[in-house]
Amino acid sequence: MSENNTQENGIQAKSTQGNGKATASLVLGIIAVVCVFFGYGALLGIILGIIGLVLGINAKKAAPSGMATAGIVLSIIAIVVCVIGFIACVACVGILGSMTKGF
Amino acid sequence: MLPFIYIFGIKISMYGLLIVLGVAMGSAVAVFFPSKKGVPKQDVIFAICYAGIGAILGAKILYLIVTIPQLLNYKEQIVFSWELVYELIAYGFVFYGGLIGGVLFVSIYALNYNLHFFDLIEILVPVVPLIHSIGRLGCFSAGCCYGKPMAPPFGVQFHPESVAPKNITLFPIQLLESVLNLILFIVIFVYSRKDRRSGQILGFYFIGYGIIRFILEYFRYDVVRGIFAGLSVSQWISILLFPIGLYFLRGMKLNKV
Repeated sequence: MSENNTQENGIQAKSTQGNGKATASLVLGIIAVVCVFFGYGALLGIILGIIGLVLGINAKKAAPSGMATAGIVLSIIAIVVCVIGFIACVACVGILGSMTKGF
Repeated sequence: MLPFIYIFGIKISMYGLLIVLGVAMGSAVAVFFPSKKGVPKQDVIFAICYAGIGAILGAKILYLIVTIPQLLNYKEQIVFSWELVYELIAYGFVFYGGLIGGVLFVSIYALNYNLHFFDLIEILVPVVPLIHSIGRLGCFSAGCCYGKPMAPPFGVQFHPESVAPKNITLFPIQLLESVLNLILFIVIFVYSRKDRRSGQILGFYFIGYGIIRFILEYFRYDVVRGIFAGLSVSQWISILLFPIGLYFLRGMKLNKV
């Protein structure tokens, strides 16, 4: 009986933890998607998107829920938009040019 | 060869677009045609997400390691600004850094969720050259990672908006690497269809791509090569990957790692 209770408590704790992470993932995913529309905010967007994605995956593995899935999807969208819009494979010459401008 | 396209008036970089397209195609192949049976599709998708995060971080970190010593030579001329920090983070990635970061993050995923590292890696490795092949088309569009000056018809003039040097025809080595990666993808994909011992597919890729990259580096002309003792950083990594690849190609004794 007590063994069953311990097991149930363990599952409940895991599920609560998963819920917290799922919520965090969803919130970070929403903020990340919003950030990508604000110029340099895209950097913040990609960072929040990565954290949101990891938390979402963690939550989904602990206790599958719609909120975790939404968090994962939003975080992926934010990362994809950042990659398309802002990441460029520019040689260092370009960077040096912008660093030394004004001279 | 367009570095940017405009959709509804929004400027979009072809480089980013082609990378995303490559990852999407590679992910589809990994999910729908896995070389190892029995790994849940959800784990394959999550492992791809982890690999993607690792690839972004690894490619950036290696780029900074290679670039920062060169930038320090200009430290008197550098004017600090947030724009500069943004550009340092957003611009420039090294493929090998991405590969190392991706493999590392897949191992973290496998460890976290008690999965077999090689089961996951052998689903993901065959699609790496496919993603890389499409990504190199992005490099061609952006005009980065270009080859040595060469007269037409082998040399091409890049778009004025691209980052390649202007008024000079350059060998489009990005296209050559793209084709070689596509061939490597087909070969590894066929190789992975048969039941292989753990590590063999990874070893095959390390050796195959290592040889391709080592040779192609001699034809590259872009400035950031990070040369040490006459060889570029990527050539040193290729040399390092060869014995590691040979070790894995023999196959691990234990099927489960």
